[in-house]
Amino acid sequence: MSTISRNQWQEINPYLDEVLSLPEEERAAYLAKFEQERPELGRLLKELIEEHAVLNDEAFLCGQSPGGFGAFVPGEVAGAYRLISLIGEGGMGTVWLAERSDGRFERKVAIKFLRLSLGTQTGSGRFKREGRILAQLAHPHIAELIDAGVSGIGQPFIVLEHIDGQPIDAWCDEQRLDVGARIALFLDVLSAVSHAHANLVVHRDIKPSNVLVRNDGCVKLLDFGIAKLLAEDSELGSVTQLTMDGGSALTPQYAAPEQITGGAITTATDVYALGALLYQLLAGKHPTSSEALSPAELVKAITDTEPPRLSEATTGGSSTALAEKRSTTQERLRRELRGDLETVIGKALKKNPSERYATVGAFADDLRRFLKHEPISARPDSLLYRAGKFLRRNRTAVVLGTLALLGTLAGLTGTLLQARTARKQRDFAFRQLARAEASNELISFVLSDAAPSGKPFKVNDLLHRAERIVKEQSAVDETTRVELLDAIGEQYSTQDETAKSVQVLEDAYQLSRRVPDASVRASAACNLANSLARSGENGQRPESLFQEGMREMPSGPEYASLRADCLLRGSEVAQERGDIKTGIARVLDAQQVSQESIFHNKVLELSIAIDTASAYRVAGQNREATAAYQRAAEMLKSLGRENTQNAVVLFNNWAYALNQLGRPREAEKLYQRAMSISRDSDDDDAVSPMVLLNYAKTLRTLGRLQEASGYAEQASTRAKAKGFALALNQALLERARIYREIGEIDQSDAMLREVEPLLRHDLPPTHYAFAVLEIEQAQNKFRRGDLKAALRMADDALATDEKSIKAGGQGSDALPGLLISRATIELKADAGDRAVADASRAVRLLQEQAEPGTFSTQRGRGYMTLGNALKAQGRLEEARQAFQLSGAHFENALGADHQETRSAVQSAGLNAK
Amino acid sequence: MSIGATTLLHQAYIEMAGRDGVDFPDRARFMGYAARVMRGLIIDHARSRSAQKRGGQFHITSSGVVVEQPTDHLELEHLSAALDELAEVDACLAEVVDLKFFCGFTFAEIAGMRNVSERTVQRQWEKARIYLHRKLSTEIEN
Repeated sequence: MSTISRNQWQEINPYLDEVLSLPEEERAAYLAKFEQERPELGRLLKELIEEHAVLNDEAFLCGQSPGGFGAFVPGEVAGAYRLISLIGEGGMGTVWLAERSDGRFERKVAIKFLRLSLGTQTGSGRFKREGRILAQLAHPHIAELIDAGVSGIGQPFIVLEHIDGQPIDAWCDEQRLDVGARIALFLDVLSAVSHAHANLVVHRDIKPSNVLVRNDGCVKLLDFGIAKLLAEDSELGSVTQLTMDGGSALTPQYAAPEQITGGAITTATDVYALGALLYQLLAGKHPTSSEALSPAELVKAITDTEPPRLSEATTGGSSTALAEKRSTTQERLRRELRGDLETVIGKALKKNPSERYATVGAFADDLRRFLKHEPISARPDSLLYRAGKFLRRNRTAVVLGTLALLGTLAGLTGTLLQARTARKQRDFAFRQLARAEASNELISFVLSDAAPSGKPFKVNDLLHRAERIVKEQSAVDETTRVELLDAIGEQYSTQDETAKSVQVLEDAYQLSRRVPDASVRASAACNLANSLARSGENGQRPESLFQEGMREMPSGPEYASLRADCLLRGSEVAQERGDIKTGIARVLDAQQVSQESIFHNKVLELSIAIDTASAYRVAGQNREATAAYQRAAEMLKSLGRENTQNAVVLFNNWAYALNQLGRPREAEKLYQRAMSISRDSDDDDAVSPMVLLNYAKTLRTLGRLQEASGYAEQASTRAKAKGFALALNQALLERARIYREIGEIDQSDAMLREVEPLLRHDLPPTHYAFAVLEIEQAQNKFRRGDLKAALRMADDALATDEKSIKAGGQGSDALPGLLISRATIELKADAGDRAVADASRAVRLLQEQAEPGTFSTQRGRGYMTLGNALKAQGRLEEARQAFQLSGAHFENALGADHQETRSAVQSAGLNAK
Repeated sequence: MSIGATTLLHQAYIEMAGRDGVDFPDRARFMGYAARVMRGLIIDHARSRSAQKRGGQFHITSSGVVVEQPTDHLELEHLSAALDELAEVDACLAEVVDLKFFCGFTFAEIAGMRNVSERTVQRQWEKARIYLHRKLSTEIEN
């Protein structure tokens, strides 16, 4: 016997294929025939097939992979422990029995190796820290989390108290515990969960396999805080249920409705799970009765269908056996479960979290009352309520699931909520799940490929990858592909990758032309319109795309959320071309339309809240804007999405509004917040140039010119690199201002020269940005001493701005500043009374915009200028008053130590003499 | 501490970064390469581990040569060398072994990666085994 040469192998390969495809019985005949035709090759082939038989007997290479799962070996050491034997293999990883390796006789532990691999340094650190915090959660009915750690290679493990016991449902059946005894045992579980809630830990994964009962009858709750550990670390949040186990789209049997729809996870989520557990203990089956349900049906069952009444759940096939396990008869069991007990469990299982027991303690109290035959606090479902549930039946819950995971990873706000008619509900839910499955593929690939260079991945790389996959995946149907591309395109947009966003959304739009579903086509059109407008495209296309989208969008309350979303986009399209009035109108429309929706979409509401605030800001109504931002921030927090990209946008815009109101100190904090959220993705590149720029502006206001210069430069460099025109233009303008304040007029002019052609290319000539440009040029002229030119340009600037405002455009934000700048020039140019007029007008405008009782730098400057103007006119008493006001504003906005404050105070003081 | 497949994959990335200019236009080829690297890492790891002898000896019985499950790093290295040779002759087959035996992917998963049927992958696996078995037996004999 000899090795096969390459040529031989190539020759024999196809025949090997043929033989191996044949069933065994037929192989001998084939080989015989082949040997006749080609003796030499035939003999070799025969040898190989015989060898194949041998190696099969030997089970060659059929053992477990040496490096694969379950590669741990008894006797291996993990941290301070030595592994004894494999206890089990769960979805999350493997569990080993272990003991201390230093020989100290302590109880045995269970070490759970988690499958997730934490790639980044920060991840490991946080994991370890969380582990230590959770280890302090001590309770007689909670399996103690002794320690948590991460191996040198990044595999996380958790050391738990080892519980030798059975799942609670098996235990109860085995011991034939009656209803009362089961409830009593269950109350122990409740006390454990209640304790954890008091320590602000939500379990999120309560199910029978996590509730064990030892031989001595002591019940222990397991895996506490593991969900929390992971959620903190990788921001899985509400989707842990669907994605933790190996990444395949699962049957989320024990999930609460809000875990599926992506709502906030709270203690009420645990209440639901506990309700389901008790239901199972008493009725012998889970409230969603999940045998033979497709994933889509299961999802609907959880989010939509009311569970059968407890007493009714016990009827049917195995009901005698069921009753026996509860030491009673079928009839008596039904009687026991009817009435109050049903009501109590029903309350725990309400679909709407706010309708459930507010605390686990309340749940326990009612159960105790039931045991003592006292009246319970829960009210049974009224007729109205039960009638209402038939109305709710048409609501299809959307599985945000894995797309939300992709979202949270990349900071997506959440998918479009899509409404369907009753007929299409099932297809729709199924499609969402199919999309979730496709997304799972996508995500697992994206995650697995996440760090080809060993560094933590950048969000944009993630998106590039995701985009490629979506395009290449042949298994994904067109509609899904469009939706996924839309989502990716959106995300590029929030990352300021406007060019990329346009490209992807353009692809999605073209693809969508072939899709039969009108709402998908409509949405794609609107998304593209938005992105084009944002990228600075000025032609008719964005608006006409938006109109097209609105025309195509089907009517009817099921589509209300989609329509509202389209209106939001239309609002931005209008705003981008300067048509603020239409912009605000559309946003308010969106608000109204979304209320028509039969869905309850917190994420959409949040988008609307943020966009409303933005629209106000853009319209210069900064007061309304700040109030709106505050509301949006609260909503964001309640959705638990504080740290997503949405939050960055929110904080940035809010800070901008504050800065406009002349409250730079507050703005600074918010900008820093925005930047830290971005930086959390471990990469400085992640901070948007816009945020950097806005921060630079704030720093300039605060007088920290060197810092401001640094950030502004960074902003312009990054904006240039990303092709982000808007940010680049603003950055250059800002750098011009900073250079001027430092005193480098030549550099300042250079910046202005650089930005002018860019502005001309991007914007219509009536845009107020040209007013801003001109006033900057004017101020530079002023500094050089060319008063005539300065005044002329200032006049031009004001004219441009006022024209823009008259035409319904932006520009009112800039007006006070322009007036103040001109006033400064007028003073020196001997046009004293014009200076007074301009300054007074500026101050008046600012007062109108301001919230009463607030202070701002802008008004400080306004009053300062006014004071100087009045002084020049000899109106000393009025001047002093102006200076005093100025000082007050500066002091509150910038601090008593700030140069501007001191000079204002000084001026006020001098005048008194 | 031993290594699970996901952590190993991560480690593989880091090593791969050191090898210049590798471009992966599609997932299947990437996974194949990664799997090959993973094989190397597993063998390195096995070598550095304080291995418990769990068999893995070649021995000769009356019926011929019996190759036991290689778990010892020496055995793995023999297998690896044989795999490298197979890779010269038929890269596809070697990749299947890397993916299935070393990385623990199932036929279904491998079929999905390469966009072929499971049966095809199974056949490739069988062919690979034939080649390797033959190679290893030959080595022992000589």
